[in-house]
Amino acid sequence: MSVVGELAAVFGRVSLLAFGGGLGILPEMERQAVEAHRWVTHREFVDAWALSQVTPGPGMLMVLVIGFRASGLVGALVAGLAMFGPTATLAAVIADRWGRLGGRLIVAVLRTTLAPVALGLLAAGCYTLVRLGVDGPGTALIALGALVAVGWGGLSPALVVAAGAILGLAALR
Amino acid sequence: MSGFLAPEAVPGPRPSLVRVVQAFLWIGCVSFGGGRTAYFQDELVVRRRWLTNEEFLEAVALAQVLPGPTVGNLAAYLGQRFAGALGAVLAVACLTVPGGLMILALGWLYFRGMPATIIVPLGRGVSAASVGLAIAAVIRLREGARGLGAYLIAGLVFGLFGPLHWPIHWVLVASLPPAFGLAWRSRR
Repeated sequence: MSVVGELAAVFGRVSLLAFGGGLGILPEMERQAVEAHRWVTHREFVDAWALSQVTPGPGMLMVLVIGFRASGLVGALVAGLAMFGPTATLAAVIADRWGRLGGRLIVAVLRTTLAPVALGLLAAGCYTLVRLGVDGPGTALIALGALVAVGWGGLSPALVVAAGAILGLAALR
Repeated sequence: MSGFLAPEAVPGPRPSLVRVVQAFLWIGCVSFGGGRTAYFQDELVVRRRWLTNEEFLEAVALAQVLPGPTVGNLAAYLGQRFAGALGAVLAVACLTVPGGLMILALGWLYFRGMPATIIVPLGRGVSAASVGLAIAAVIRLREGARGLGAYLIAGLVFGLFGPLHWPIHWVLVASLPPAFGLAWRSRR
């Protein structure tokens, strides 16, 4: 199979394994991209993740860097389409079907069922973010400041994160 | 928690395609750091009021339970609900293209020899701030799940999926039956 075909096959398959968020598939992605196909080195894989943390949009856009390294701009495009295309299509189809069911009692019940579960999943996501992002008093202060500024101050998240980046540059060297 | 922003959305007319593109393009350009659902909640629930907190939680649950990157699913799901199939395609494109171009530019510099360590302090500040955003979003979204039972279920899911690292399917097996029972009782 050509490299482009392999990129499509690998990232298309890995995206289907991503239940409950993208962080869970990082080990399998690394196994495929570093060990099985040797598109990038371990170091490059870790750095691609770091790049995704300072660019907006989904973290899984890191597959563009891997695809780019493997096969140029075409590789990047194919990797991105394989990662997001099939699963986003499925989500849109579900949204359409779900919407058509409209105001039935069972839909209302399922909505009330899902709400606390989603709240718990998001809270668990915060737990992961704290472990990844807070490693000392400096980062803890930035996190607390952001919580207050967005939650009570009503400031735009974009502004708050930009402030965090500047503080990071100034204080966390 | 008094004073913490938690507005109730009023169900209005469906937003136009242009407004959907504006909203998702904005999210696609500014959603730095982890916990990107926080940007969706701020823009779509708090500022534009297109969704209630409960509707947003429903969308997040489906986006997480379906396979694929969560925020890509969330954009597709909400784009479809707001403005049909074209809305879904444009929402996903607006979410991914700006960041995709930026990460490609950085990747290009990186493979030309720019050391990744340059961005490390920047990334640490961004990651730390996004922790605050994500927690703020969860505190606001508590409005979408009311009552002691709902909070107990949310706490159960948090414990199993966070500290205990259960795989998501086991978390759902443990939490959906009591959540459904509670919802059924409260709606009848």
